[in-house]
Amino acid sequence: MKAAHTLPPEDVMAYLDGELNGDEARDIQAHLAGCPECQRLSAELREGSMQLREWSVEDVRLTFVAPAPRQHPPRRDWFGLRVWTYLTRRPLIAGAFAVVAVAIVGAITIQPARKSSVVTVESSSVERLGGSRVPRGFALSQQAQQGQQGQNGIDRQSVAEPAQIGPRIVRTARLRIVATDFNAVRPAIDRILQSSAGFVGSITASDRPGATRSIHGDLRIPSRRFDAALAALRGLGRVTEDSQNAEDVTSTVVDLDVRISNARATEKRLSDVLQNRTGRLSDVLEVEREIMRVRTEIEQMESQRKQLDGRIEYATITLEVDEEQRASVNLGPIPIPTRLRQAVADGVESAAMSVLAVTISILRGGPVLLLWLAVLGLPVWWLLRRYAVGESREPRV
Amino acid sequence: MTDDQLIRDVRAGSRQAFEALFERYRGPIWQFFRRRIPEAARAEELAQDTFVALLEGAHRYEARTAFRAYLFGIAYHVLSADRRKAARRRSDPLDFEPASDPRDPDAGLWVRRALAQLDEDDREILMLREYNELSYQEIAALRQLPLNTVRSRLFRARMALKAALVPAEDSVRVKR
Repeated sequence: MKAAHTLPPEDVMAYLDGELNGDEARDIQAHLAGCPECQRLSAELREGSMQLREWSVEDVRLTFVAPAPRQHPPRRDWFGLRVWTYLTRRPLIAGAFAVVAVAIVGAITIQPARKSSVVTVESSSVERLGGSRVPRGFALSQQAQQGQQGQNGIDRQSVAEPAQIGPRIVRTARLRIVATDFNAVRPAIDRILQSSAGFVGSITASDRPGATRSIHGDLRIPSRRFDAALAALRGLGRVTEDSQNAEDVTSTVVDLDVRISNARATEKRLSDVLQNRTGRLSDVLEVEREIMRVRTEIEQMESQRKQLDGRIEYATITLEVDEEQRASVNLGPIPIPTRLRQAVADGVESAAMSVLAVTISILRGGPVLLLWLAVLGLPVWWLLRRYAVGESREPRV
Repeated sequence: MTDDQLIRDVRAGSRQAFEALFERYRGPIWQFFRRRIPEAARAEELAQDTFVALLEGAHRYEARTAFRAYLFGIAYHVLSADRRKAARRRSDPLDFEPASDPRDPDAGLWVRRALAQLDEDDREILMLREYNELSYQEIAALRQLPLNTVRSRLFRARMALKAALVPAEDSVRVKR
């Protein structure tokens, strides 16, 4: 029986648990019949299992049709589950619900689209007119009323509430001005900014000795006041450079809004997954990492959106104002010796220039002169000689 | 109908099949959580979660293991997730506090105390075997352990339980 004790006790346990196949089970069964020690182990294991059975719990009270809401996950998930359960049991109601939902969604999405297209055209016309004139047929819209207010002065309310619809335009301009009264430039700029409800993005005033004074800066003007402010700035002096640019960023804004919306939906889905699903720790960590990534993306896109909104709401005018230089410099009376020296210098320079000019003329015309001298000089020389020979042969009277 | 046939019908969208599975396993799943969660309401929520997860993930079910093991696998993951959340909240007791039957709080008292003395992993394996009747192979898959490790740990747990039960049982019986 000593050999029997080499049998691992786990095998006896596995036999009792029904984990062994036919041959193994038969071997253990045969062994148990002749091994008191393994029989005792077997009895202890059976007794242990029986004792564990003494721990009972109350009867099941679980029902699935109306599950109790959880504490931590949001209640709407359970509500959604109940709705889903209800709809899956009633296909006709679910179908009707789907049709009504599609109709409502369609109505909501189509209606604003129509309004948007109309206002886009109107807004464009205002944009072309620089916001200073009200196009025909626009009087009933709020935007037209804002435009009318803008005719007579600055409309702070419209500045604070930029148009929420229509094309999104980023306007910029570059203005270079030469000012005769430079001392009045800076106060004038401040007045224009104040009346336009604008502000200084950056500005640099230069007043170095021996150099012309200048002011360089970026002015941020509400887009609706852009044209008026630009006209006022042109009055600061003589305009030497005037350029404007209008960048249509409507598609960028729409694209950004869609991406933000999608990212938020993704974040919500991931949060729901994290709260309601179960899985391995690595899966949970992966979901949390993904949520962090999506949130970072959302923050970046929202930052871009705010920056873009700022550029749309406030146009940028790059202004350069230089002081006009004086036409002549008063050096006072010139002394006579200086004038004589200058006269001598001028005479010598004139003589030198004359010689130089003759030399240059000779050099330039010499070859041509020699050519013509050769061409015309030889016949002339021959005629003169013949005449002279004829005269000498005539008899003297 | 077998479990596999029912879950296949659930995958095809049969509500009746799901209700049949629910009726068949609501007791075992309830007991699974009730023996591990002190509060009955929370145990009920987690059992609900298990069936919700089963319903939502029915399309992913593949008959590689027995449905019973698959379902208890879901329950085990639900339980693990809940324990992780409890650990993060730091408000729930992390120690093993097995529930008792409110109708007879003393029933199996010494068993619960003996189980509480076991190593956590050994206790879980023992409970999966004894109360949920999972095979060694199914426990190994669930706990992601080698089969022999499950077997040795189960034996160790049973021996430790036996050692813990003898004095405790005597003391309780003396009190009675």
